[in-house]
Amino acid sequence: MTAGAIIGVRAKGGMLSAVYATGVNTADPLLHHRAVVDALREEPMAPLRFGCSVSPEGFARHAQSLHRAAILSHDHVEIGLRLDRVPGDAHAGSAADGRSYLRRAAARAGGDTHFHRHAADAEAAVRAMAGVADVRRLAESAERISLAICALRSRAAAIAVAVEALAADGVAVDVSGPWPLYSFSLPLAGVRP
Amino acid sequence: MSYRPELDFAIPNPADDQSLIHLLDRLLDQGVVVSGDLRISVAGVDLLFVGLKLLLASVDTADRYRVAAHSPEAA
Repeated sequence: MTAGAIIGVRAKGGMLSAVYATGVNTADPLLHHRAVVDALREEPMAPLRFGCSVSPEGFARHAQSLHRAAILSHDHVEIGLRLDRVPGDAHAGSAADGRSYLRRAAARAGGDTHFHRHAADAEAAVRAMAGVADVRRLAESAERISLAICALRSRAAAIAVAVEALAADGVAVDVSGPWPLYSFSLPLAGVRP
Repeated sequence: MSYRPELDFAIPNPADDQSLIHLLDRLLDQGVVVSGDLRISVAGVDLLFVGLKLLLASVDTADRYRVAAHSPEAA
């Protein structure tokens, strides 16, 4: 049984130090999140994601990224932005004949194009907003795009409202937060499709 | 909108599935590899050594890892 875990990294005078929390474990993400928030209320740090351990070599390899996130955490928070494709093919009908099938397939393909074009425009618009330090694309599929926004805390509420307004026909927007800078502490490991 | 401007940080309610999903979105979307060799030490003395091999990831992310692992570039 694990007695605790390193949940983040603080930067002081150019030196990085690990933040250790007791009572957290690899089975309870909510417990981990609460420990991260408690630690952040004491002092800014680059938070590590749930279940993420960093070896001494990892600390050295990612020192620059961790240091940047630790500094940003003084006055920045993460906003979660999820863009979901809303099927809009009701007009294509539901009949089982071949013509109706082709209409539905064409509507789906058109919807995919529309969704990804709008998502790219939305991402560009977010990057251009005042107070946005960074944007990372966390996940992408035909139906959903998940973004993380590193936002100046003093501007975060206004940014969240502006982001909410990016919803459009066929594209639903879900904004969450404010979160610790979970998505900006380490380089993204995911592979882009 | 699930954004809570009145809070310093959002704390999901365990009884609210949606808010827990938002938290897991933050914590797991990237795909996190827990790969042991975690040493906790004080003044140069190792207090704890943890050896783990565990992958925590969303389905999308796990799928990307799977595709990457089987691509020619991964060899």
